[in-house]
Amino acid sequence: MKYIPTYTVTPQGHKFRTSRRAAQLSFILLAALLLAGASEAYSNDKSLKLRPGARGTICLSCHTAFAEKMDKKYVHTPLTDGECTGCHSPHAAMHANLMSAEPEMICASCHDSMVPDKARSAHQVVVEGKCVDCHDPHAADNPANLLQAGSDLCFSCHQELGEKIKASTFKHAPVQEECLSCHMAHASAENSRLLTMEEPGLCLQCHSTDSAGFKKQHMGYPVQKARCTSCHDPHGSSTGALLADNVHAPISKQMCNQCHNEPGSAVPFGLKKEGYELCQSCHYEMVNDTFSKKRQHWPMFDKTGCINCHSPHATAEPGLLRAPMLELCGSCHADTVARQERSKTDHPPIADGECTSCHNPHAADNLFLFNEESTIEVCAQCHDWQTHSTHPIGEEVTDPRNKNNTLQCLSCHRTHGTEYSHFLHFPDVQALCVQCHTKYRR
Amino acid sequence: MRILVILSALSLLLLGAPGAQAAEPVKIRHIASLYADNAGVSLKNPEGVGCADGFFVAADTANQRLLRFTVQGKAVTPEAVYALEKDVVPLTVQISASGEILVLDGKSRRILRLNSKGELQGHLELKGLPAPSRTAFRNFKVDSKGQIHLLDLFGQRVIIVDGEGTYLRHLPFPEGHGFLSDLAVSDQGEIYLLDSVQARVYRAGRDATEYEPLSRPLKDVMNFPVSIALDRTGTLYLVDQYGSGLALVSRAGEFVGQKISMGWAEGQLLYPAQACIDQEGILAIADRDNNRLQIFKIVR
Repeated sequence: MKYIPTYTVTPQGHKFRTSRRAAQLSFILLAALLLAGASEAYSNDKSLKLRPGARGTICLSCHTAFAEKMDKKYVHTPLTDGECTGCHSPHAAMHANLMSAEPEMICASCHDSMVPDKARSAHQVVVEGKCVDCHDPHAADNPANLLQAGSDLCFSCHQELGEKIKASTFKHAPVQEECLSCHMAHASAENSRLLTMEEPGLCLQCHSTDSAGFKKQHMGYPVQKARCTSCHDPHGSSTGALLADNVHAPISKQMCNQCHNEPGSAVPFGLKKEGYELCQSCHYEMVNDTFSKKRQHWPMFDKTGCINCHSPHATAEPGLLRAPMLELCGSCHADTVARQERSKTDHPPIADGECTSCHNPHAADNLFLFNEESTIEVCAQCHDWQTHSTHPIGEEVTDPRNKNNTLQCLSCHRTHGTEYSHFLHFPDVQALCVQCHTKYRR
Repeated sequence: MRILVILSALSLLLLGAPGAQAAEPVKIRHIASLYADNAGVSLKNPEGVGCADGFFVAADTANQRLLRFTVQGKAVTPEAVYALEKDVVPLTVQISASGEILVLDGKSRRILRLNSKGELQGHLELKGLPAPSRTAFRNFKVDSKGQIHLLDLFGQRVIIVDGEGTYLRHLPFPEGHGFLSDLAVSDQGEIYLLDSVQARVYRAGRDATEYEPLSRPLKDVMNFPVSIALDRTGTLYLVDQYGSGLALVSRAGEFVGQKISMGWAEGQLLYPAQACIDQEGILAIADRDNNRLQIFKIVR
């Protein structure tokens, strides 16, 4: 006997594959619910003396463009039922498009379980209630009323990633199919990064680790217990073996035992030294230079050391950074990054995530780990006009507000931004100038 | 009448209850701004200050020296200058009950010991320290018993040694911490840890073996606190360096409020570094980017 799959459709329009017995039971239950609902609606309509079709069908007599929408392959259930009032208020509303609730909240009034309680990760647009960024609330030609089919929809936001995937020489087959091969669209109760399963489990669903070739490629280390993305870029790469684009030399030379214990040892992934001491054995010049400075970036000295910021294996970022610079620096200095985001005027090095334009991330002899002793010189790296035409500044010019300070760029500007134009400390030029030129105060 | 008597008694009990004093509103009055030593040499980027009875010692960091000031009532007077070796970057200062001055050298990440006359006695050498033997001190505090509490980044622990450097015990950093910058120790032996990244305070009781969160992450009300000091009621004063202000946290871990704003005028702060509080409620702050020390009186 041929098995014919059956589906259950929820009132929210979701389809679930079910057994025939379950389908029959569901059908009876659904029919009973519909009858009960229809009976209640009929009773309400009667008491309100509503015209037939007043809950929605009648709307289409004016909103004729919706006839075209109704012809689409997938129509949102309330619309199919002619229930425009499910989302819109027919008379007046506090929200645009006569929505009967806040647009970010209205979908959740039916679809309230998109993000599980205490979800490990959730898609930002879902959390923000921006469902219409992906779904058409009325109708679409794609399942689940999606605006576009497959990964194209994802790449409309994750544009940079889409371009990188396209440009990669070596493709990862599941990525070519669709993002949902590995990721959940809304949230993941147990996994990070919306993954359907944590790695390495997710990777091992397709990749076998038993072959001699696999073992040889990984120098006999038990990588089936490790995090694959520590070396490989699952979205594709232009480096062989899907290694991330920037590879630490010991990895590309297959010399894992330069840092790790031997593969056959009791703790093969154990490190031969801790913290910066491990890196110092190769990068001794850099580490010694760092230690010769008056001020060091403190995280270098903790147990994690250099790999607080750098990947020891491979990464898409230059300098083997663990993440794009702004994100990386912002993981500790969130207040500084947030200040720039709030700022009325952008300061390009920060907005572009180039913190090292002004700061040395390892060590310096200067405050704020500036790469120049004088703040004026730091700014002059870009603003060279400062050196020939400016308000008097420099070591010879005392700040009238504080006899121990001299005037420099930061006397008037806060480089990471303020709520005022040109990241001034004060609301406008007049308010700024009279801080020192007090006789002009109004 | 009986009810009135009972209510009055209850009110008196509540007023006298422990912690009631800490709940009183705190006012901070500016007393003095100190710009120079006794010879008129200006301060340059002072980053540390340690308080004792009747005096305090500041790290005049960019000038690579220590300055001693006496405090009598509201009068603060420069008293002495202690020169340091050329390579030393004095960051934070503590004064022991015997008057010994201890200074964190930011370059070597070791603790310098100076006697009460400011004469260098050497480094704090630790004895009997369990592995790892390597240390990297980010900060330290001396408690009322003379024990030294060292924030060891490399070993991810707070090491407690006696005044001679002999190991007594250690507590591992709390799980899930961000970056720990400073610690404070109460007269009762409680240790408070300051997490700059999360703007959070952790606490360990006198005999506790681990830290527990005291406050919630307070990033929404401050920027990047780097120093923590305790007054005698147990209120915590967090020096918010990037916010150029002070944030107060009660001994129960509740955010109490912000004090002092960013600026150049006296009584304002510009990227402050360390703060200390003496038994009389004198609060001294190393006002780093204003190149001065600022002295306040805590009033309740």
